[in-house]
Amino acid sequence: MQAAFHAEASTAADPALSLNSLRKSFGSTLVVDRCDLSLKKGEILALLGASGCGKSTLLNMVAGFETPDYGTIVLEGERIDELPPNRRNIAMVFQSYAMFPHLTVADNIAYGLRARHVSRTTTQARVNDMIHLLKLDGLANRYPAQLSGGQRQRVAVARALAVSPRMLLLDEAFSALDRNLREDMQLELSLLLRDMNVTTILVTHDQREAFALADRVAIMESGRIAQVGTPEEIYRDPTSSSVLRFLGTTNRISARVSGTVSGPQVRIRDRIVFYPLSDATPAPSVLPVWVDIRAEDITISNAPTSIHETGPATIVLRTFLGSQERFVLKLDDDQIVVDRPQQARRNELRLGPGDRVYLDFDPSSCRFAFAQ
Amino acid sequence: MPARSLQRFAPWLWLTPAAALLIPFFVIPLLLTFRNSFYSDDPMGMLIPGFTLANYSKIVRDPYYLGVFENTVWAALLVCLVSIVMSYPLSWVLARAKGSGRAFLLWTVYLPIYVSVIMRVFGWIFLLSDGGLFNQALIHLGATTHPLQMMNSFPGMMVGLVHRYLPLMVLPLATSLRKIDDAILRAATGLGGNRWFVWSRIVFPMSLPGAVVGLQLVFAGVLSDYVIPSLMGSPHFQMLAPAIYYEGITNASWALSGAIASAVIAIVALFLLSANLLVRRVAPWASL
Repeated sequence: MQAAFHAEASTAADPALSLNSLRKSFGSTLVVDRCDLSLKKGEILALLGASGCGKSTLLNMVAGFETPDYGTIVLEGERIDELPPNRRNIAMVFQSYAMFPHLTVADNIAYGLRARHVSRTTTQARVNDMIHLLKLDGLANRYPAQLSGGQRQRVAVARALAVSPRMLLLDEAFSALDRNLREDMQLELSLLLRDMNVTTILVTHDQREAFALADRVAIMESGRIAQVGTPEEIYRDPTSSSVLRFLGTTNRISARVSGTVSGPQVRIRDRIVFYPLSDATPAPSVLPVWVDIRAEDITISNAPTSIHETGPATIVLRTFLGSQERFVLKLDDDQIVVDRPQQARRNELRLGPGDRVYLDFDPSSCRFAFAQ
Repeated sequence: MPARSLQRFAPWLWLTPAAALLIPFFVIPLLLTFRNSFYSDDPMGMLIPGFTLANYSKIVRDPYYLGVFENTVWAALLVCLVSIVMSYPLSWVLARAKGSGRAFLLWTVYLPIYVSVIMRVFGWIFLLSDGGLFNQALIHLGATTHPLQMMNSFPGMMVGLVHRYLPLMVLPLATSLRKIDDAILRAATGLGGNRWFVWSRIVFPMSLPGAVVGLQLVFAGVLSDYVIPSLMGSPHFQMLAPAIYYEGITNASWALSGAIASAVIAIVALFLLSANLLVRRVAPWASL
């Protein structure tokens, strides 16, 4: 009966997981507010946000460690929000890896299979497969205390995938690793998860990690999902200044909006910088605004080149970052960071501290926020 | 002496105050007791030097002494059992508690240690004696017409011993259980373990090292406890420490009491050693 319902309910077009208007508060603090999300089978979604934005709470509700105050969670056609965590068949990799210190690598990996009363021979075979798949050969009889951080993370992933979970959750699973190791593991895991077609949600505060692993990224901000899309979509077309500010190196320049016959004008200092294009432009009645723009979206030159320029700024620092060079400029009281791709440098003018330059940018790459 | 070699001895120099106290007042008397156990007693209360195993052979052959050993080991094992069963829930709550709740619980565990054992026994007398609070209540409620013998009985002594040694079981156990953090419990549940599975595969095995330390402390404590058996125990259930005191002080049989004392130390040492070996065997991970 239940199996029939199951087969009927989850056709290929249906999402593997859907979260419907989830809400959760702790005391009087609303931590997760009306979150809707859906994932296709095999899709990897990153929940990206600053600490305290509610992303871990959202993940814990999917895992079953927190109960939503409102809303439903449907996994493969089955409503799971009232099931205890041990009956959801969702595996999680924790930031601390949560190794069982008294069990060897092999027994850590076998734990979930034993909890499911899988036969001894099947368990053994599955454990061997996972050990091989995660390159843990030769470490089966070690205890977690005898492993490096990277090896522990592999064991945590092997232990989670060994039970063939309906979903995998990664909670800041890479943040304890060194940068080089982290990037290697991200690549390896990304390939592995795609290969095994595991539906995955990963929670991170690291934009690089989210972009490196995920098919889609959901930006979370004070309990709400601010924007969901592929990495390109949210990077190229952030819907708000806060999303923009979360991705890459950004600048916040103080400006004013005033009304003219041809529409609102954005002025930085006393110069008319541009006539904004988008509907999201603040009305002229809101005078002080912030203009948010990425460091890489500003170009600099030693003479004004278009109407969007801001007037002269002074270079106070130049740093070499490998694939690009970074200038720190002073525009009156504002400090502005500009990144310039390194390969373009050959036919551009050499700039250094003390030089006066003009900033120029495409208005469509700016977002606005009300200045308080 | 050059400064370099002085530095090599520096760690040992720190031990001198402790050694100055322990060697004359603990190690030497202990060695003397051990030496005395091979001497013989004479009726005048003097020790006759020599070398004889007669004292040891007496305590192994005499049913009275054997009975005292048996009683004490049995009582120690029973206190171990009762206190470990009582400690698990308490230690679990203590290990999971945070902030001021945790501080309060810890304080309730420590408090009995701060109060002199004599004062605690007086407390029990007030509650358990023939005219004590419990008996008065029982008589008042009509549950019994004559007061029940609770002081100076085996159950009364057990109550006193468990009360005295429970903190020594709770503290190491709570320390072990505290190492099981939320993430480990969540991982254990999330991977499909129900409550029983998580308890038997994760919580219990991870608590073993602490439980064994607790058992060692309680066992060694009960085996050599003098105050509780003398003040709360039954005259028909002799325990070792009062027996040693009786032989030494009342009977002036220093050689015999030395032999009993040496045997107690040997039993405690054997128990501690085998418990350590057991931990190394069942929890090799704990010493990594």
